[in-house]
Amino acid sequence: MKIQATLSQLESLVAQIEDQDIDLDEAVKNYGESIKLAQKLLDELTKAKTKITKLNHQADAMISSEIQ
Amino acid sequence: MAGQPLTVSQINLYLKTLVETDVLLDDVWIAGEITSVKSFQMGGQLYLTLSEGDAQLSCVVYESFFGNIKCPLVNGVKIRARGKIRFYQKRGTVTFQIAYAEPAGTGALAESFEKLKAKLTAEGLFDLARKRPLPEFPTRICVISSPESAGLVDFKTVLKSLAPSVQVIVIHAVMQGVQCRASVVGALKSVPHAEVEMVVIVRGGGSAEDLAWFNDEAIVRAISAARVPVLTAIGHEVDTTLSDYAADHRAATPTDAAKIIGFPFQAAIQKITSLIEKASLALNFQLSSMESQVSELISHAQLHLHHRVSSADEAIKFLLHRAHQANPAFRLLQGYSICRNTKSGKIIKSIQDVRPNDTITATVANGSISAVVTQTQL
Repeated sequence: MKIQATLSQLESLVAQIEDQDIDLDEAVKNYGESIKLAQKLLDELTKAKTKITKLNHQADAMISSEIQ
Repeated sequence: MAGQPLTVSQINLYLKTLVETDVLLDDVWIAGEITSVKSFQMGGQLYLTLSEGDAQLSCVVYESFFGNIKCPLVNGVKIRARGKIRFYQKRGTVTFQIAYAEPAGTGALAESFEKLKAKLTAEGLFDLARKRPLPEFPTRICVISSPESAGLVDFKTVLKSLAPSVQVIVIHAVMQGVQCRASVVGALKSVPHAEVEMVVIVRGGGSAEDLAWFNDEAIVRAISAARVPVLTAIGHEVDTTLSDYAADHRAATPTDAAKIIGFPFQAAIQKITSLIEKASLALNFQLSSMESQVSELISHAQLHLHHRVSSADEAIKFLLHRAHQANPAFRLLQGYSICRNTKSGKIIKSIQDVRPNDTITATVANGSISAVVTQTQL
């Protein structure tokens, strides 16, 4: 999953929801999809944060071993 | 009248007896300038020549007397030596066996130092152009030092704390005294040049006489001929030997040498740590910003949708209200009634729809009323 691309997709869906010309049922359908995409994005961002934390620990350990 | 000639052995034996039974020659002080020092032989002796003008005297120092030598036995040094004269029968040579030596006067060492310095400077051995840079991040280095001397311990301790990844190969050498010259030159020759990136010569502090061994021409030439850069750490900050001049770099002390090697590692570690922190911060900022963006978009969508649903709800309620208002039953509650011709069942909308004596039925909110038409009028 490409985070930036998915974010752009979410922006486009929200823009459609904001468009007064589309039917309400279409807007509700888009809202459902937006919620799904947002959940995926937040999951991916959490994974990325966890990965960064893990990498930071690895880097700390590597530097500590070099210092000792 | 020619007598029976003596054989060489006979005359040499005679001379040996003559020389070695002379009390004066058995314990004599001799002063002179060292003009040549020969390498050690297998037996551990040091051979040198003492000169004064054109006069020369071959000398030898046996290993058992090395502890009595109080000055560096290097070319150019003027010494006072005590020992005995010996005659070698086999070669027919006279040798001065030195048992004790000291500098001949306070300026002797300084004078020889300046003399050799001038000579080697003229040869270009100390030229700055010859100096090679030390490797920035060496993986393996060779250290020449006496076993577990304070200087070596300092060097290893500090280097390990600053750059533990650097492998250190130690070549033990005698760092002062008569054996210093051959030992250090031998150590420099045995450096595994292909395996190490630099050589460090480590020798802690000592007296000027102790350190003066590093003014030896052979050591200086061996340093300048080294195939990898040489860093010297001899004595303290105030001591500078000719070995220091010949080296690619000089450290003030063994600890300083370890710092020179270790600091680039520390600087690199700090830089790496700082870059990792920066990268981590930037990434976390980007992630947080994306999270905010997602939340904001969803809030936007929720708000907008809520607004649209509310609007639709209002519209429906309004329509319901209008429908309610239009319901005929609502009119009946307001007091209106619907009148029908009882016979035909038609709704009476005009006076023409009934005649006198017709029966009509009026529907009201809660039931109906029958009545008879008595008359009609416009």
